[in-house]
Amino acid sequence: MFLIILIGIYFTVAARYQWFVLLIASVYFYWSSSKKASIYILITIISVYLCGLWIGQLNKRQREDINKNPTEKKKIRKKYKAKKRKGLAIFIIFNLGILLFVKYYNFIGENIFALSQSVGGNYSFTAKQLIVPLGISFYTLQAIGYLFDLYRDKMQPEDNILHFALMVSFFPQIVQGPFNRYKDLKESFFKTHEFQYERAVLGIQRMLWGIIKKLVIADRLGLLVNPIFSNYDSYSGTQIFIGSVAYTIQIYADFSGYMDIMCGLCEILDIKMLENFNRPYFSKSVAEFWRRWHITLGAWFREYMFYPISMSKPANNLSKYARSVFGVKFGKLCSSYIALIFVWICTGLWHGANWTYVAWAMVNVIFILTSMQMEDFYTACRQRLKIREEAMWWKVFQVSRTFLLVCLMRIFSRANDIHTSIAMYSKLFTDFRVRELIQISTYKIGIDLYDIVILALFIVLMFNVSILQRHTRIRKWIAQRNLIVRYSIYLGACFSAILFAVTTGGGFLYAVF
Amino acid sequence: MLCFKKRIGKLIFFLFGFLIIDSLCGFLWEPVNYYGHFTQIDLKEMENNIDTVFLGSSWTYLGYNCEEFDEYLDTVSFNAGSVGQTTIDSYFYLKEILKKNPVKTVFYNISHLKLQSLKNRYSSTVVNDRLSGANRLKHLLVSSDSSTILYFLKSFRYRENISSTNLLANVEGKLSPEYQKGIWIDDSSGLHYKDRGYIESSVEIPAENNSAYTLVDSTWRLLDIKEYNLEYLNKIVDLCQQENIRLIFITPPFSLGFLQATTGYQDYVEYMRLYTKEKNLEFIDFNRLKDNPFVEDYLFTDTTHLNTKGASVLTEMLASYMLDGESLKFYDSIEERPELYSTCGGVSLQVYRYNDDVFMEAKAANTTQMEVEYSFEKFDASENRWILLSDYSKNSTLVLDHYPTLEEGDYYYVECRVVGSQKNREAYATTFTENSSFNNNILIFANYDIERGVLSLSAGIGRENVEFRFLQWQSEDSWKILSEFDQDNELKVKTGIGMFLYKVEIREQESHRVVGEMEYFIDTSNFLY
Repeated sequence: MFLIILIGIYFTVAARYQWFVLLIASVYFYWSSSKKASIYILITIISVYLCGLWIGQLNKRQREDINKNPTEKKKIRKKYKAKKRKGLAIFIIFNLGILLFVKYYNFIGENIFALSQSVGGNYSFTAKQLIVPLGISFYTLQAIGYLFDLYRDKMQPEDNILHFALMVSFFPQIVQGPFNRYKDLKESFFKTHEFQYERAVLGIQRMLWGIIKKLVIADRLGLLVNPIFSNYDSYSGTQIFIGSVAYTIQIYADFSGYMDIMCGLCEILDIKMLENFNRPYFSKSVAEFWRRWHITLGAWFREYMFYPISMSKPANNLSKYARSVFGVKFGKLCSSYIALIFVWICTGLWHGANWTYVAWAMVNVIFILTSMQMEDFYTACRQRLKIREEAMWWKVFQVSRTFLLVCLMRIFSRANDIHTSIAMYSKLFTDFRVRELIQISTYKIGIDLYDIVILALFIVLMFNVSILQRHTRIRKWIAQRNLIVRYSIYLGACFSAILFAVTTGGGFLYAVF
Repeated sequence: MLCFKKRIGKLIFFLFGFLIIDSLCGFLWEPVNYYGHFTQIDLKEMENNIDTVFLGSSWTYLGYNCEEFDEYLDTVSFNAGSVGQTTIDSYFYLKEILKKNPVKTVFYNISHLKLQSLKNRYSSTVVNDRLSGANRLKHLLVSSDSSTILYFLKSFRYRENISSTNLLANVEGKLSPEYQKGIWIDDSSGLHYKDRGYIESSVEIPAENNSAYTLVDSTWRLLDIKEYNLEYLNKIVDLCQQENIRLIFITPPFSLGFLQATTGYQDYVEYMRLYTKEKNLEFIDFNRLKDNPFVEDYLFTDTTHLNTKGASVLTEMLASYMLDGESLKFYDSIEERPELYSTCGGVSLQVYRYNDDVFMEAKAANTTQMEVEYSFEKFDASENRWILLSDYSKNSTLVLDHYPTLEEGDYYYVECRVVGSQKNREAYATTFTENSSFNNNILIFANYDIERGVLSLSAGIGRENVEFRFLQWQSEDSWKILSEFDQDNELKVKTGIGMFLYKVEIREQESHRVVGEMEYFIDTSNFLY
């Protein structure tokens, strides 16, 4: 109902007020779902807005000074860069501090306490019940990205605080992203939007597909996954394996389902959003998987963390030193490795205040670094075995191998704690019976045969759609069919959602990150 | 403009297809024994003739046999009861019936729970199916919200049946001529659609279920009255007054088990009295009926719904009321019903050995002038069953001659009730050995009266000429003396819900030599259930 009213008002008001309608809707959405914690987002909006203005002012003065003294360009730049850097650091620390406080206070405190206990210290710690504001991990990073872009003088600061507030709090993206750059969003927000029937139909199609992915696939898989991860002791290694595969598919259906709903809505509103997925489970390596999964988060870390670290002076010095000690190849990549490890630790912790995420991140980084370092060796092996890279069987092998690795690594990110995940791995490798894989009873955990059939059908459909999307724009293809075929597909989708949705599933998985 | 018309055309095409598929889902998965189908056929057949309507929830469709009622009064009645029917549903359903019928009398079944009930998505969908035109649309808008609206689609409502329905049998049943004619073909649930909306239940209340139903929160709370329920109750009254219809509010009979679990019933009665007086309406409360036949559980299918026999009794009584308003006599207050409220508040039990015999001494806290009867049982651990030692009689002490030694863990049990009442008060005693510092036969029994917040402690020992003193453990590591040594082996203390530790000390009357003491821990919250 909220969305229908919003769309109705949005296309009724004058074009110059459309952004304001979105702001009101975002404020309403945020206030109704996170009343007490609204102060945090307000602090971020105000502080980043002011910092942005200040950096913008410095950029302006820098340009003026350079115009006056073009010969002193380098010196002037250096002078302003130092100033900006100080200001930027203060505001980033301040905003990250809020994030660290509300999300990681207990985690940090508990770990210091554990450390203190192990060395015989007397540090005492009492955990606090802190309200984690909705979307804090998303909007904080996006706001920091905005400051970085200003620091690099890539754009002009936003003068209107309400415009800026909309960028930070835009309700479809605040829960689970994607991370958009402000200049892209600004272009999209403040142009004239007219209602277009065709675009609305395409948007609804995408929303419907997202709803099916979330309610029919993800939430139904949740019924299977939750008992396995909450009570792994009662299940065999085979069932734990099934649980990890199911969770891998669940998290994709859940997250990409949300993205489809969100992008569909934005399509109706004529607002361009970045895509977060590019058929990730068809990746041929772990590194490629991460380029195709949660793309905007990866891009954010690459842009604002990986490059600054790998190109920093200490990293360059380290690289030079490594070249002299370990050889050219390792030395060349050394700074990237360091940056990559740091980025992955941050990625892990960004997902949650738990060592399981750090472990999950580390396993990922080990696979990525190993494959980077061993790339020449793998190529040589492939050539010796005369394996053609274009061969279909080889591609299938690579995709399956990557999918399997991703599934296994997911145990770390889903298990309650490190001990549990280790115990699950141990059970998986010591209690795995291939025969159980073909027994239907193995799969009947929290679900029955009916659910298994529904899941099988819709998972096949979901991945087939993914495959087809490589070469065909499916929604366009549907739009070109005759009325009967088209409406049969629409009605089929509607009734799939009505008849097969699981209504006890709960919220989106990524909303807790 | 052409484009706009084309789009509207497409939308209508889509909606049409949507409704067809939704109906198809309903056809496939709506159970063949769903009574709404038969009710609708009867309602259509009786069009223009119905002069009497019974409105309300399942208490209604299981409670009034239209055929019998019409025989008594020569009326044409229709039972418009439906599962969980709310006041909103009743109003719209009545409006629908009034469209085509000259209704003169409406019996509206109401209870202390009805005005407190929330909007019920399932009940509303059931009624919505029976409505037409604008009435249906209005009902949909009033009775639904964003979380319930999907239930108005048959596809969504019956989707849980997809995996459990025998599709072929269901479709076959629906295509059968009997079903098409409105003849009930499936009695598997113990229910049988009789006719005119009345459903028979052949099931009799299972004795062991009687207590289970007492756990239902059946409390009348004035503050919990939902505004929309009252609003639509008033609308029903206004509608009947506009149409010159005699509207009678009826509170159907409930089983004793249910009434015993009900709190604030008399307050509800007062509320309804005031309401009906204000509106100049009649109000029949079958729970305050004198010479009430509904004390018998065999008239019920569960604690609140009547079975076929019960419905016949109720129908006859209602008919007699319609013929002669004075034929039924009512108590002013439900508290006057002897089988309900004139009962003992609790019972204590002491089990002790004296010489060769074992004494089971029960004592009821009887606040009435009526006599109390007791029944005693013992648990036989070797056979894992209760053995009846003595059936209900007025003897409060049972002497077991030459009984073997009491053993640790033996369970003894007593029930008491006011003669003629079915409301039991029960107590059990366990023999102790481990906590006794003196001999095996010291015993403490506690009973907690939740309504009054009074804890009764009774101590027993297998000898005479002794005195008892009760103490309670204090948080300051000390015992507080609750009563000084005397021959009274009972103590009543006012206390709340919580955990308490008591101690009883026993000494010889003459020598004052302490002969025993025992601690007793009690969690009064256990008495809540």
